[in-house]
Amino acid sequence: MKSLSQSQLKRLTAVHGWSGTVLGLLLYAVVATGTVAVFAHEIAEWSVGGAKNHAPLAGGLDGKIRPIAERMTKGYLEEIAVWATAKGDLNVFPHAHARNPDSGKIDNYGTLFRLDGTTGAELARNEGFVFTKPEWFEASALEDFLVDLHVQLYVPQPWGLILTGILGLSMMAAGVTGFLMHRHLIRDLFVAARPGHRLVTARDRHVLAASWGLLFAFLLGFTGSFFSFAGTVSLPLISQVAFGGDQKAMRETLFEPAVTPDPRPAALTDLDAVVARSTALAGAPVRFIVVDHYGRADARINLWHMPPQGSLAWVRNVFDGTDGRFLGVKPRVGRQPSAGSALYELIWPLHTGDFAGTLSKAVWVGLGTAMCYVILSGMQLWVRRREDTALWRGFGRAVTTTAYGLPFAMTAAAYGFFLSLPAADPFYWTPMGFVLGALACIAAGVFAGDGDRLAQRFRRLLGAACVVLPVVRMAMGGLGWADAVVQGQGAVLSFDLMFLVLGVLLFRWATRQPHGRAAGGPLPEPAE
Amino acid sequence: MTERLRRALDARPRLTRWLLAGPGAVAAALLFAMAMPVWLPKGAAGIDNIAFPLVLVPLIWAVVFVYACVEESLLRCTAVMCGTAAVCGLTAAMAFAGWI
Amino acid sequence: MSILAIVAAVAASSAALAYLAVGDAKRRRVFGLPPLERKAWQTWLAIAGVLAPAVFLLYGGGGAGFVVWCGAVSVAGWALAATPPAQAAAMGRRVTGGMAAAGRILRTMIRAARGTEDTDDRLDRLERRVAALEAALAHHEPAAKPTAPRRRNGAGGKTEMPQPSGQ
Repeated sequence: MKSLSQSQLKRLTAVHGWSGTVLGLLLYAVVATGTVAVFAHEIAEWSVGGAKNHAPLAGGLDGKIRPIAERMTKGYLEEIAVWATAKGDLNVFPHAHARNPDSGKIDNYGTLFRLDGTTGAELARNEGFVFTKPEWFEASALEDFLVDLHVQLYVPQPWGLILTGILGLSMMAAGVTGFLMHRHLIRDLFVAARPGHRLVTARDRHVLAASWGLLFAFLLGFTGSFFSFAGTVSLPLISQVAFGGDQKAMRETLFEPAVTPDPRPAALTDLDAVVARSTALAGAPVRFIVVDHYGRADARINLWHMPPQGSLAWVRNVFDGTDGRFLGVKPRVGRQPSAGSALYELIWPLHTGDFAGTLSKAVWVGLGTAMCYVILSGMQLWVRRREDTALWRGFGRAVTTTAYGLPFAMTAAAYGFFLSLPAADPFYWTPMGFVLGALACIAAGVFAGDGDRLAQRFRRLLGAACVVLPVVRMAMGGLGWADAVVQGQGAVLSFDLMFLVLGVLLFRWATRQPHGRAAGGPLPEPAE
Repeated sequence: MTERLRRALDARPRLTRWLLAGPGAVAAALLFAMAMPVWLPKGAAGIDNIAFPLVLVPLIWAVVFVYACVEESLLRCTAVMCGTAAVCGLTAAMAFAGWI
Repeated sequence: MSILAIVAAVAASSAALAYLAVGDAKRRRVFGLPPLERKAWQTWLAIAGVLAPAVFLLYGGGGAGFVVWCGAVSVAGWALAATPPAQAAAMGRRVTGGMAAAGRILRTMIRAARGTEDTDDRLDRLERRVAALEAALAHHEPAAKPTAPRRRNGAGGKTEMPQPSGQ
């Protein structure tokens, strides 16, 4: 590669440094919450005390869904969506599409039934624009909050998505500019941070973590910004050109299977037989089912399966609704397999790590943690170079406060969830717990010591919060360990143990000797 | 005229760079993606020319952004980006109007 | 591609990365360690050792294992590289010490399960057997001089030359 001139390097350094500094705290928030959200489903299971039924979609569906569909008005039979909650309950949602007066957009409108996953007994029923009310279809307010925090930083649509999309672009830009700036990437690949607490040590730490995580930093930024912008910006613009602005033609070409309308009445085939056959064909459990046009001759049954072993992409099987004939695998985009669809199908698994069970998710958590380290070490390096200025010393405190405060606030959200379970609305108190936790950390950051003492105090605070959390969970009526073992609720045990271990490790880390250097004091040595 | 444009751009290098790497890169990337369905092959399912630009928009932006940062000559950078945006914009407009 | 295959591939690549890290010239220079003389083919072999498991995963069963490998090796590589040499050596000593101790415990357990004699008794028995065979040999070949085996003498290590037992 041709080496860059001084002016080019200077520009790249400015772009890399300033974008990282201005957007770094928000980027850290997105990456840290994303790291946690990798295990969103397991967090949901842990928070609700485990799933009563781990495979409610595996069988016995026909007897639960058909009675509901038979008594529904025909208008709601346009689609029937079926999926499981974290508690192992079944959500059955016959619905149509109508314009939501609040948002002005076309939304799903119908009646949502929550059924016991084993017996089919009706647990709850709600009617309306269901997906605007998470308390109707989500089992865990904690999961809902943590995912929303990552996807749009809890900022209302569409601004939250645009914000996280910009942060994804900035992560890509930081990765590329950092790569171009670092002239000896391969040569320095095994150079650990030099001993001592000099500025070059801070630089080494940042560069090493960034070098090893470069590929995934770019990939995660790219896929993240795709999710943010695809629906809001890219698709509307591209469809204007490709389909002359005809959104219906665009949807039918890209996403919906070709079906000749046939409104003649016809009974739906045995759903359980279809589920069994689809599962055998896909080689993976089913996660989501949609029955189109129940009770008509043009009925279709769509089943979405987890990625089969060795594969990255989810599988969507389509069956004829009247005779159960297998109609084929529907790609994510288009009506038959293609390179474009294959590329599109990679985005979700590459971003979430949700394709090979706990192993891939664990690796993605490792990658997310590495990304967090890169972001924080970069901001710390920036601050170290400018420590003679009060403004940047203050920013340094903000970095420390955010670095520990965000995980603490997420833990506080969990406290808000568990403490509100008996008698309050967890969908209100979970985000409120986050806010209160964040405010507490900001107050600590402002008043409680500086530099290393501040970091140590935060570690103790976070450690204590982690250790006490499983106790609070059980005290609020959560599943005990003995029952968790008997019922095979691995998520409950794993997360409790993880919090205990994390808490202990944080305490041990907090008791380690600080650097011995006064915080904010300038170093009497050059930067490099 | 070229010399006058070069002087105008070099008179405010920082502003020019900001405009090129900021809104310029976003506009160029989006226009490039909008024009891609016209010249990309449709593929086996007839949708590759839409799926590829849809997925690659962030990557296209990254390429344009880095180019805007690295290109030494502001005149060349402006010419390349404006030229690309103009060609792609024209292509997209003609496709939208049904002329191609 | 099973979870075990992916884990094994990541472990193999990480081991090769550790080998590369130990011998990395700049790393050793920065930490004041003497350079490790390595031939170019050894380094290239190690690089091949890092990448070969990935090729195996990619062609063995789909892209999922390969993608997991990429992510896991990125994290493992960072962890290996970020550990200073002294700390890495101490961890390595703890690991090999632990493995040696585990091996000793395992051997003791196996021996206990089999009900076998201890080492000293076995050596004594074998020495007596050799002496008996040499005596028999001497009987058949009177020109050959029998030599007595050297016998161990406990912790002191001093050897003595006992006479053949004549058994």
